[in-house]
Amino acid sequence: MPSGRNLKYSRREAISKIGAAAVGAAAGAVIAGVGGYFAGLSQTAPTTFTETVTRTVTQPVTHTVTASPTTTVPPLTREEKFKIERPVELTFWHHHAPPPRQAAIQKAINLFMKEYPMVKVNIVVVPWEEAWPKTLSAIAAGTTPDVEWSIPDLTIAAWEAGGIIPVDDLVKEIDERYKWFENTIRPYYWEGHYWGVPWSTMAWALMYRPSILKRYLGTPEPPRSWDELFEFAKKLTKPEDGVYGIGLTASKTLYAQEAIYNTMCVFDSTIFDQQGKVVFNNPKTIKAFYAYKELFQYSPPGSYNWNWGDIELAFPAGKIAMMPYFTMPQRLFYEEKKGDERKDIAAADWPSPPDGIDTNLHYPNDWIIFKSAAEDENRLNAVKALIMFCARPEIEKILTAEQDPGVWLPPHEAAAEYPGYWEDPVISFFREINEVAIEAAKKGRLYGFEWGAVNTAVGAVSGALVICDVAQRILLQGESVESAVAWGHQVIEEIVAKAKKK
Amino acid sequence: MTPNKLGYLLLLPLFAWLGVVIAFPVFYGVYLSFFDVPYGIIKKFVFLENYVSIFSDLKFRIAFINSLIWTAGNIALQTAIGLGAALLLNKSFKGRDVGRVGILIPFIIPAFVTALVWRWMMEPDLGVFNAVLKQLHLIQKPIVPLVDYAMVTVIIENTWRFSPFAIIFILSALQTVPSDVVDAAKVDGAGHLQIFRHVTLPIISPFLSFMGLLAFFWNFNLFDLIWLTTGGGPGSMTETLPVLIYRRSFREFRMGEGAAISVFSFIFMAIVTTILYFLPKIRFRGGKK
Repeated sequence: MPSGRNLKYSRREAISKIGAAAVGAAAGAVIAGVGGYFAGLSQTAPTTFTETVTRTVTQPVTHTVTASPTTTVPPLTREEKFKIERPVELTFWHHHAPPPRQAAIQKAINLFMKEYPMVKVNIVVVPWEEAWPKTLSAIAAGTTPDVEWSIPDLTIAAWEAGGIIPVDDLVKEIDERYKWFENTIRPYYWEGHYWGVPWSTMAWALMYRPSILKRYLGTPEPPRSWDELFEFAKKLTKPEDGVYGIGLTASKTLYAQEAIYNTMCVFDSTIFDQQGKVVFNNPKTIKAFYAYKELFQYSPPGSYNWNWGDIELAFPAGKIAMMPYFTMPQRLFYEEKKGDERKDIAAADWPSPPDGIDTNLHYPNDWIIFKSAAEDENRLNAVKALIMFCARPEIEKILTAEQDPGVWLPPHEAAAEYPGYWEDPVISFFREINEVAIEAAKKGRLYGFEWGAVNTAVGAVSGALVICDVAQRILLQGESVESAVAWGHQVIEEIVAKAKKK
Repeated sequence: MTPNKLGYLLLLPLFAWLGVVIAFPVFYGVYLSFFDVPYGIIKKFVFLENYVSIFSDLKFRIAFINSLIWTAGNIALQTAIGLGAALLLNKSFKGRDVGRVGILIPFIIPAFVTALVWRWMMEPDLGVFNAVLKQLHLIQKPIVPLVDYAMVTVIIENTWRFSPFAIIFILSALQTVPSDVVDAAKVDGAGHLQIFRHVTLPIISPFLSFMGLLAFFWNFNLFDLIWLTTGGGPGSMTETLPVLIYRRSFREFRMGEGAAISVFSFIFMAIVTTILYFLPKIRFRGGKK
């Protein structure tokens, strides 16, 4: 700050006063950032209550399904309708901003509103970055939507905030009709209830560019074993050509957390044991981080800071030969690449070490129903009708294959076997990739949810991105794996202790 | 109704608005800092427990130190660059008007775009930063600024974004310097440096003080650019108090602690302002002696 010795006193005083007022405003804005979000009502702890759904069986609708020889689809010989007696408007929050995704969701909702003319669904797009603050502040302020698309971490946060109701009846109904993938429904069970109804899942596999493998290894075949994965990554790293063996990251993002866990899980490394005790610091986790560290040297130098968008640019650009990732970007290759390049994307099972387990990361996505919707039976029935409607295989096809093929995968067997899904132009064009994807979805696991939500502090642990901090200590700050993992364990224990104390 | 009463009546809506958007959130934030608020639910009164918790938290101490480094670095750079560029743009030369408008471009680019562009520029093998250094044979292998020099890099990034404000602000101050005073100094034989030191600087000092205060609030409270560029990493190297408040409140869901950190920031800024408020008086009085 300049000293300003030559100034008149009154002038300086005036400036200081303006400054003081501005400080107040600025500091107020900081506090408002937190305070404003939950300036509302204090809430009581979540309560458990059961719902009785009244249904009226109406005229049967015959679904004509042409089953392919390899698929079996449960016959849909009846159509149930929830009893909706008067017009109702629902508010539905989702987090998918890209226009093609919004169009697919709107299409599904339009079909629902056509079938249920008394229900109007207002769609609100809340970007993922704002999903947590907005959901929690809406619960605190009593201004929640009726229904929202969520993921297990967010579902737990909404449950902790006392905002959602159990959905056991819907889970059971859909299971009877369509049969859930067991690992997809597992993360939503705690405290004796299901709290989310999956509408899709996502799974990681080893995505690769066959042309790059062929150029440097003489064959387009992917690595089939753990050792081959490392060998391929090394051989495919050609900095002089601007090509790297594998795309990984060490950023402080959800993407990094998923990438790291995708390596942890094949070593059977978990954050919690079956009883919910923190077991992060164990030989399996240490092995996993050693493996990640070794693989990371074959990732582009700038990848330490990558987020979703960065790797999704690097892979189609041919900068990386392989990437552990969601089974995408299929639409981009299908629509924007020409000639042979359209098929220059493939997927393989994510390899596992000899003493590891055959799995990968998967991330189910679900519907949550807010308490506000349950205040009126007519409204609740409309919400349940919407969820049941969207669970139909033909609607699931819109929400998965049409929304973003390969990214969103069917959450239950009927949707995965639905011929219409496999007839989607992009899905059928990349049929092999999508077969790998479905298998990956069936055997995948999610950090903190390997045995269901055994420790409900998982949302806070995941939100704190502790796994990323551990990776950054190892990869960017040169700390030893053992020491960084021990540090991570301690931080997780602290977070859990604080969460439990609440 | 007397003119005075009418005046107060007309001010009422403004005060009501300020009460809603400033006073209430401030007091509510202070109130929340004394409660256990997991996931936004006010559960129980814990008095000073949240404060004890944050003061014993290493992450908080690191974030506070980072905030000080971040704020000081930004103010110093923004003021220096702002002053230099403003002096240049105050001269008469061809294309000056274009320069004055063009200088605003970084200021009007959204933070998201700025963060994205800078992340790509700092890319070790694709980014323009390393490419230039390589062309100049200054480096053998790529450097990774957002890892090796993370704090410095984000300070430079933020300075790039906010310097236009400083430039325009100081430029407007320079235009209040009376030309006859400058001419008189020239007639008396003063050189450029002497004119700047003894004529220009004293006249623009109040503006610089005010700009320094604004820069202090804005930089101390800045969240978006850091969050979008580094997310507070690597490790906690760029995690400032606003980033920690967000993370603690909306990622770890300990909103009582988040509110306590906010209150600490508020008190800290109030103290700094008070010092700035009294310091000039002391100096002024000292000068009088």
